[in-house]
Amino acid sequence: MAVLYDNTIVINGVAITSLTTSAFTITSLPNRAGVLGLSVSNGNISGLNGNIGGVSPTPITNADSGGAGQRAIMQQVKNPPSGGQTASMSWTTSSDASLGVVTASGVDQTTPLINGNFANGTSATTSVTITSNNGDLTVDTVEVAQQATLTAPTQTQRWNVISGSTNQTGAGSTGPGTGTTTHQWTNLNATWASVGANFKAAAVPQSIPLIPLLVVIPAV
Amino acid sequence: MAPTNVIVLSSVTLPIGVTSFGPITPPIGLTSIQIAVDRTLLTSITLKINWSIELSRDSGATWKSWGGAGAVGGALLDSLSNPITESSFTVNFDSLTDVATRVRGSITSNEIVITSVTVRMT
Repeated sequence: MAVLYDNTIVINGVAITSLTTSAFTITSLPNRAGVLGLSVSNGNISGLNGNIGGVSPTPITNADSGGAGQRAIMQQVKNPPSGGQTASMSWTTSSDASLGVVTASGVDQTTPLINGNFANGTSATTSVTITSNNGDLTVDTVEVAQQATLTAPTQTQRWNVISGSTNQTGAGSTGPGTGTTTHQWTNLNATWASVGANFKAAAVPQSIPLIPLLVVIPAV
Repeated sequence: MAPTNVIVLSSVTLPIGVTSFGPITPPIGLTSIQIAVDRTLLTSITLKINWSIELSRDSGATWKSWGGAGAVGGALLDSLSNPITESSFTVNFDSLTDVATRVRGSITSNEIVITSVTVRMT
């Protein structure tokens, strides 16, 4: 079963400690999962608390870039409810921030997102590589410092927003599971942080093999 | 389309609890909305505020949640050490605003405080 991309919603803000998205629709297809992608200009935030449709997230191993400045974090939500929902995330220290949410169906319900990875630096290209399998869906979240608009994503852009006082830019994209998927963005040689992970496809249900029957009717 | 600014609460004294604003009718053809809270007098470090909006596309008959944010009080400086004078959030409309579009909202405070709330639409 391949992961099916469903929907994206984004909100951004300045000098804040929480964000709640507008209402968006989550598919009714089975094996749903969602990812909360948070980009912040103040990496000293702590006490993360969020939800998609009221379902709390869990961390994705290695999907937190850390750092005191630009920081990107992704957390996973297993089986969010379908229909009209909102998503939110809160933290303790004021920051400019953007929150992007991606939902999908056909996702493994034991560990929806795997193979977390992060990178950071100061350069004109952000880049994070995500290990995946055919049928998976990779996703990244990027944070870049002031005055450094993100352009030219190498995967499918899902959100890309700029927040006021520091011109913090947060963005996210999704890509196909191809074994190794690299998510890159171009910026103005600024400080950046990028995290990525992989929506793991749900296992294909095993079909029951048909056993041919041979019926012997005795001659009368 | 030129940006449209509407001060929906002007130097009001917020009580402890919820204060509502709107509804307002945005101009036709806009794509995004920002709700900004003036931080000038949000000096108490124990202050916590949350604000949010609702959107109607049927002249106010039905409403749905359309974004929100929270902030804490205390002086904040930007990367150039200039005071940060606003907290805000920005969201897109689901389609261009039309004659039936309405926006309303509320701000919740845990302390009595004076502030203004400005709606900016582009």
